[in-house]
Amino acid sequence: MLRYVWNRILMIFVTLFLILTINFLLLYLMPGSPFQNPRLTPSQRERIEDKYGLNDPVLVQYGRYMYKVSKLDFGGTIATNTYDDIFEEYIIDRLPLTAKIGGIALIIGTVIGITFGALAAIRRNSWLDNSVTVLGVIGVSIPSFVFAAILQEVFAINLDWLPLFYREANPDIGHSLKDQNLGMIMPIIALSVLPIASIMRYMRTELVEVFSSDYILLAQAKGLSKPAVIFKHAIRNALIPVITIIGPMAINLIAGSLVIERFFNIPGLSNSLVTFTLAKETYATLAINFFYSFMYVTVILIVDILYGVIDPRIRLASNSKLGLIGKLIKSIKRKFQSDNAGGEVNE
Amino acid sequence: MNNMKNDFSKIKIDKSKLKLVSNRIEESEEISGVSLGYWKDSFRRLLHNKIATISLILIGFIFIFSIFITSTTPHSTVIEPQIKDPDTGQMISKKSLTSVPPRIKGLEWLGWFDGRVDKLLPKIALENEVKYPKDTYEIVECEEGNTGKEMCTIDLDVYKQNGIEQLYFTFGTDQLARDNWTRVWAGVRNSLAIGLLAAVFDIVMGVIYGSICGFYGGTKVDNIMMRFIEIYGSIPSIVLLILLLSFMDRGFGALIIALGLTGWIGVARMVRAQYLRYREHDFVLASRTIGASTKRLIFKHIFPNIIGQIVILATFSIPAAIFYEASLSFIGLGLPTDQASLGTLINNGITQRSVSAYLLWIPTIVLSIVMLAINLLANGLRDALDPRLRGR
Amino acid sequence: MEKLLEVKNLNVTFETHGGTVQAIRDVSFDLHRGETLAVVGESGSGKSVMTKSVMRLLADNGNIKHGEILYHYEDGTIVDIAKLRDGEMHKIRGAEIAMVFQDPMTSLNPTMTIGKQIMEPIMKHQNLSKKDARQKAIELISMVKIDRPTKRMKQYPHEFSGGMRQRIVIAVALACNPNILICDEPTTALDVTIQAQIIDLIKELQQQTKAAVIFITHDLGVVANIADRVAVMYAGKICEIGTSSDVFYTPAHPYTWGLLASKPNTDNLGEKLYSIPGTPPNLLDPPKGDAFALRSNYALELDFEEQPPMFKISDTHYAATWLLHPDAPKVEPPKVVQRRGAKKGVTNNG
Ligand SMILES: Nc1ncnc2c1ncn2[C@@H]1O[C@H](COP(=O)(O)OP(=O)(O)OP(=O)(O)O)[C@@H](O)[C@H]1O
Ligand SMILES: [Mg+2]
Repeated sequence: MLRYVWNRILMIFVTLFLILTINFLLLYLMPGSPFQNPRLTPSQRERIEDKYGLNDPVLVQYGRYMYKVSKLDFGGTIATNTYDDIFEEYIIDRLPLTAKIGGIALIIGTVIGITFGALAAIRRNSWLDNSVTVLGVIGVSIPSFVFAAILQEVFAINLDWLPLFYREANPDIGHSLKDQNLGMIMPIIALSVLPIASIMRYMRTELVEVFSSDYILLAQAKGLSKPAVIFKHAIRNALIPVITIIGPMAINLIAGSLVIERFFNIPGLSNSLVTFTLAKETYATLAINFFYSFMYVTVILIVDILYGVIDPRIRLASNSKLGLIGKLIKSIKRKFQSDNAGGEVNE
Repeated sequence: MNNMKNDFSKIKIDKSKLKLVSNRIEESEEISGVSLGYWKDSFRRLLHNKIATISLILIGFIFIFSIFITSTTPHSTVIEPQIKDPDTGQMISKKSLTSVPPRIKGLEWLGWFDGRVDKLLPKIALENEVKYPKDTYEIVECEEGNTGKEMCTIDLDVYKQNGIEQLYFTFGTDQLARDNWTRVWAGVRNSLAIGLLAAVFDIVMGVIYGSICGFYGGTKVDNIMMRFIEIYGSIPSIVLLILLLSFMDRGFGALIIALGLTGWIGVARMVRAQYLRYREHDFVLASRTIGASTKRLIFKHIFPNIIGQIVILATFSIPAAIFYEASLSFIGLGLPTDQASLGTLINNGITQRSVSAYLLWIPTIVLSIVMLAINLLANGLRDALDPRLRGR
Repeated sequence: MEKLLEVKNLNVTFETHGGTVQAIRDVSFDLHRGETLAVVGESGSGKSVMTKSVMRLLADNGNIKHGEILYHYEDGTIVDIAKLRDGEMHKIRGAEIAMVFQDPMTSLNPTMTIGKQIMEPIMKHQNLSKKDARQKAIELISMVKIDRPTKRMKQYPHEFSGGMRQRIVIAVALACNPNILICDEPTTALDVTIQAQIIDLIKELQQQTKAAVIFITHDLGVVANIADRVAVMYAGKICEIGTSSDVFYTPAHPYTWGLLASKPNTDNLGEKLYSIPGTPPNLLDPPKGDAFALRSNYALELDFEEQPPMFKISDTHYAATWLLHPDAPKVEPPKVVQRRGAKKGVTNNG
């Protein structure tokens, strides 16, 4: 198991490295320089271009970029007169907020989705199953910001139970931590609708399929009771494919958070990404994009570890006495094989 | 088992019928039924699915209607309606056409399309009888506000107040006096067009890439191309979208290209997987040994087999593209605000929420209906074309 | 011989979108201690459904419409499985009647260790401590001739080959010394040499445990090798049942003739193999008379109108065809089948 985890972590480093390289290439190949901001005078621009060494050979620039990134130096904002270190000023306090809201939404989505999907499959064709089907379609079809608008209308405007917007805890202007937490409820609910709906639908289908498998028949033929069959045999096997869609869910959450953070005025990463992109702050945009990829890759790592915990085939496959490279190749092969199986996931 | 002796006397039969007859095997063949063609069969299954059929009709209707409306409407999506007052012959001023709520002739009794709004304002404002003529509103209630002023909620007939009682704006107008009806349908048309074009882009890219991979399946070319997909796919598509959009000028074309560049991976993977699957199939092996050309092989054998899958993926990528378009436009990275799309309309609706709630809810409801219908259609198509995946 | 199972007039239906599938139509048979009953018949004839009904393991849309499935306990009590409560049924499954399925690749839980999967029925039915159950499971693994049983306990199904997995499934089935072992095509998914090993194993274990075996197969060669009695199924009915030699050497039903003629053996070597024309009837709307009549070369007019009853040929041999009626025209079975009968005569006399 340890080896398996180590393998996955290695893969993630490779991926992050490649993403950084793509970032660099975008910076390098982009028409003009990143400092096209019209508010800069030509002399200012030249000074900055020199400062960033934009006239050095590619490899030097690449090496410098990677070196700086390794020290968490992603450059600064340009348009503002004050030079803001992006990592220090924006990422370090905005990332946790975005990750927290997205993470909670993902966990809620997974837990509720799995529970109700399983219940629907167990009580097939009951009213519960039918509601799960209907709510599932609605949940995957309708964008999260629609739910956000409805939530605001009902719980903030009409009932006045929750604040319309997120408010950071700040004793100076009378905002307590409770206000802050209350402000997170609606964004989290709005964001978790999609994961709930998708995972619910997926879990239901998978469990129904598992129920019709031979090993469930064998478990029944052993004389096990229905709960024993469900909990000891069915659920675990149904979870294996369900876990695969947590990755795509994370992507969806990132997309959702862009809108939701705007909607609720949340000072998170997504909100600043939008601001920076609109202001053509290239360094900041790329840095935030990198951290998005980082969050995504972290989710993938967790998913992969869960995978290994649940599925002995994967855990044991990587325990054989292969060299590190051999294992890398093997895990890549495995990924390819799962591609071959054509398991298309409906993002 | 019944251990008694056969008691033939008990069996009452027509003994004359105990004679051999000729083989009637042809009837048996007939009974086993004719096999319908795949497409005919799929279409029959789709029509059998009532929800999918209704969705199909609804989507078709909405799309055609949106094109019809936007090409016949007298109003523009970017500037306020140019309407002459029939009495005075003068242009009606922009001011009296601004933020007018929805009103439909004959449906006023519904309470939604009656051109009236509830408005909260200080009681003293009502003393200004030029702005609020007495016969244009009814006071719902008045109470002490938290600033100590007396605040009143009035039910205001905006059309009467603005002196445009002869006009009807089905979905009202926005804060720039633009006709919302025209803008909503233009938004629907644009959003659907973006979805469709992005799906086409997805499919073309995905099929080409996937075919190359699949055709060289297992070789170095395939390996490298698949590894590229893997890395490319590990960048969240929304992030990629934003990156691409931040380097392009905002607009229709940029959006479609960006959506196309991020959505094709699923198609490519599927196409490749199907290639690899069908490569081992007898009919492909057989035609290889006969020496069928590569092109023929792809178009005659492999393609027809994967077209169902492609249709399914395409129908799912339309709502995904619409969703991304709406999200991006909402945050200001999609279409420019003067171009109507469901995303820009909702974005604008949010800012106008407290004054003109209909500007938020009408596009929101329309977007929800469109998304739901396409998704239901896609589900139905998948069940019809690929019954194995039913319910997924 | 002591009766273990009596199935009487069993009718099983499935509700589907297309209508009600009459999968089992009025099937009756007995099973005695220690014997092996082979069930043969075309795909879709209802072999699996019949045996799953005995275990009450039908799919959700399946129903035992009417009929009795009487199970005789060792102490003499008789229960009707068709009407048993779920709780009672759980006590029969695995303990009294056990089952081995067709595809060993899919019949073991991929996420549970082999040991746990074998221990499960033991702990459920025999009130053994975990330690004793482990010991028993290890014994079972060596009983089905798999080496290093202790190590195997901790392994997962994917670490086993197909043949080994089927041995494990057999070990699971035999874990609680069931009186009846149902094998639903246990060798179809395996390659030929492994098939022979598994069949030998089942035979050997049957002799050890004295269990009755219901053995479903497509392979008439296997039937000849393993079965005491044979039931031939067609379109949800048993059309002929008798001892192996009854069915192989003096078959009475035209369908059995067709089956035997379509099987390669020393008698028809070099001849063009016979294949039964046409396809089985649609069980959504089964034909009125003998379901095989349409495909039969020996059909009587009455076959199209009237269901033939089970005619008794000898104490052990029954068949459902109007050809056995005393007033029916006498017909000659196909040459191949006749030659078999002749051969039996020779062996008997010599
Ligand atoms: N869950 C079900 N729903 C509907 N019909 C079913 C169901 N299960 C079985 N049947 C039908 O019952 C009939 C008998 O099926 P069964 O599986 O017993 O055949 P079989 O003799 O075991 O065939 P094979 O040799 O292929 O295993 C078939 O016509 C099948 O279509
Ligand atoms: Mg079967």
